[in-house]
Amino acid sequence: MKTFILSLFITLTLSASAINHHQIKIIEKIFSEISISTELKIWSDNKKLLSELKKCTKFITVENPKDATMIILEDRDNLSKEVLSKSIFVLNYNLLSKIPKSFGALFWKKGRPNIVIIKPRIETQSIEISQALHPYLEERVW
Amino acid sequence: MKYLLLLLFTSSFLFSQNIMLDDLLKEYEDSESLYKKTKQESAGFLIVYSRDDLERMQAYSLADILKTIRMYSMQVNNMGRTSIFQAGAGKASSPPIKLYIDDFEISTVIQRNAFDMYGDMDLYFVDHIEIYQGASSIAFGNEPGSMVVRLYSKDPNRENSRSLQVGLDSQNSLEIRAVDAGKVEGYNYLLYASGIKKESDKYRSNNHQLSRDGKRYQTHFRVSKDDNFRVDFDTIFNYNDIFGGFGTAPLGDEIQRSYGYLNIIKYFPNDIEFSISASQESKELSNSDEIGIKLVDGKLTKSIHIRIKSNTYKSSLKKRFINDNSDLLIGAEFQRKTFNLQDYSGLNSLQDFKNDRLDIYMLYLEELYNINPEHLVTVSAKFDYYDNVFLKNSKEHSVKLGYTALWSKAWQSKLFAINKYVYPTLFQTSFSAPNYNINPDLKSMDINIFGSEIQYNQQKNKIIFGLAYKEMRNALSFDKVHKKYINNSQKKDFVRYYLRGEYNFDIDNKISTEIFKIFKEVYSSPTSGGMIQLFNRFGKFDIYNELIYRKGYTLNFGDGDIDIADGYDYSVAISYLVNHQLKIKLKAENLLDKASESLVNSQTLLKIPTIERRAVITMEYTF
Repeated sequence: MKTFILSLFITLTLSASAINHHQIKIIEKIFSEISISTELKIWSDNKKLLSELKKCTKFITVENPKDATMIILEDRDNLSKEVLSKSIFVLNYNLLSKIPKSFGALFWKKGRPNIVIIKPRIETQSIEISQALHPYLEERVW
Repeated sequence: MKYLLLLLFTSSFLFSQNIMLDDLLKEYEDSESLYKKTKQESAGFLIVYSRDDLERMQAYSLADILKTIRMYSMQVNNMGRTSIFQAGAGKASSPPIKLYIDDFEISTVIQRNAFDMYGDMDLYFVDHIEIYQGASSIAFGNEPGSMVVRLYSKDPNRENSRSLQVGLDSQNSLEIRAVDAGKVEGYNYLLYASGIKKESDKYRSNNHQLSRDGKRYQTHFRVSKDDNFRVDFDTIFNYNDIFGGFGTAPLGDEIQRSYGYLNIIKYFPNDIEFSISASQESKELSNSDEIGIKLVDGKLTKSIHIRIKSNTYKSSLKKRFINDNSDLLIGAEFQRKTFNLQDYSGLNSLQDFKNDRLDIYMLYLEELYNINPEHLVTVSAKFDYYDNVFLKNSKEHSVKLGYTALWSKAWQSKLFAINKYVYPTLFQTSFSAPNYNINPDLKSMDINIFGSEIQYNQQKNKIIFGLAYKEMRNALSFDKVHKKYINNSQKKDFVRYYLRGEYNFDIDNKISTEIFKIFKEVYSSPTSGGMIQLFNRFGKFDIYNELIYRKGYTLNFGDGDIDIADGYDYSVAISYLVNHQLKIKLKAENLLDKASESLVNSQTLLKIPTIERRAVITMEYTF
């Protein structure tokens, strides 16, 4: 009942942190096209995202960043030393510049979602990507 | 025309091959479109232009959108301004159309309506536009209007960028706009500024040149913190050549207009919202005429100078109660409108213009009640008290009943019954142009509307049919004999309908068509019209085709009939995304040079195209 009211008739203000299932599908697609030298174990500071990824049988998710091999980072404040040694994918474009270790991002800019993978950074970190991600390769942060 | 339609339809079948991840991104963008979170289906018959629509249409000014709205048409007046009128209504009409920028209503005291000032405002900071016809939600907190146009600014959380856009058109106009938006230390901000030098075709009247060239400067600033507060500040300055002015042989003067507002909203827990705002508008014009300007008493004056200023202050408090089946909004608002006539020289006999002040006290409630998951009832009521220092006080009220139903996945219907009023403007009661009289005895107009809309939705297509009956008592109409607005004692009524079809070929390609007609006894502008809009995307190219039709009509000024021909306004917009930073755009307006014409002067019978033929090239750079 409430869902009907909210979805159709009432001004609805969703919080910016709410997870959209399209966003989950995109992240799943990106990580299914990536391979790293070790087994892919994902941790994220976005708990809703981590919970959704846990439902996906394709990936292993971990509760402790120490156990992860891949970090999906939304907030720079959650950047600890142990996280810095891992492969980092960010959800905010500015973090790509601020965290030199980060190799890619899914972010909103100019009202649109974008994907960027930084070519020199994946080469340095021996991250391999499939053909599907090639259109999103960039030489540098733009 | 045949070839044009052929081109419109054949190009829609050429689709580009998309990469799957790109499709997911587009679906993500579409699902997160802001209009899906702000639109209120229950508030009326809704037209939405999403951000993607606006960008692909290359809608640079609000006029680019207003000209497409069903049941309305655009016309140029003797001051060179392009204004919007209800189908069939003449230029002396004063349609009570409301304009909102986010949560702030641009309410004017010294203009006919807000569109005289903001009708050609720049849209570079706007994310999407919602247009409510027939009925507007009392929850908007406004004085009642026949149509509500709501502009929503870009969300800083989604912008995270600085961008600059420069445009040059075939008339030599120059347009520069910039937006910077993002988040800093938990605060969202948006900064926008634009400067536009607009040049237009020149015309001649009694061997004098008519020019409506002008300059416009606009800024918009917003700072907010999620669920805490929001501050908006906006200014607009217009400097325009006076075109024909009040006479027929203008000597080339200027009209200056400005508007600025500050709006502060504080959000409290438990769905309580408090807002306070202040706005100021001013207008100054000099008009010298070689032959002379005809005044109300029939005498001529060689020149007129008007300087007027107005302030509006508003404060409102709203509380929302949401339970399982019910969403109840209760609110109160206070408005004070003042105007100060600083100079009105050039009149032979002084009219009794007075500095004026109007206070409005409003109480309103709106209940949205779900009978069951498929049926929603809306009940709204609003009580207003007008305390006028110059005119007599009055009590007014509006009520609205609405019923929205989902009969199946495909069928949806809306029904509205509305009783509302339109209060005369200070422009009609307390201050006037030199060629008509004020009427302090004007009463508000009573309006009853019965409207219905049926929607048929399938996965790719949508068909909408709307039918409405409107009756007016004490209608505010212009009396040509006494040269003033009067309350017409005869009941006026009319019926109108529209039919709209939309088809989505895929996520990038769609077509929409629309027709409307209004059945009225007397008319002074197009009574029917139609539109075709075609959106296509081929790789990095966006192509938009638009054809707007407005039926011709006949005007009678007592000296014979003047025919205004059918209008066909065909525009094309093409943009190419060079790289992440650079986008190049080309737009051609009124390509056929057959857009509707406006009669700008009933004495000289000068007719000019409402939309001029022009091409504009624009470059947009994102930092």
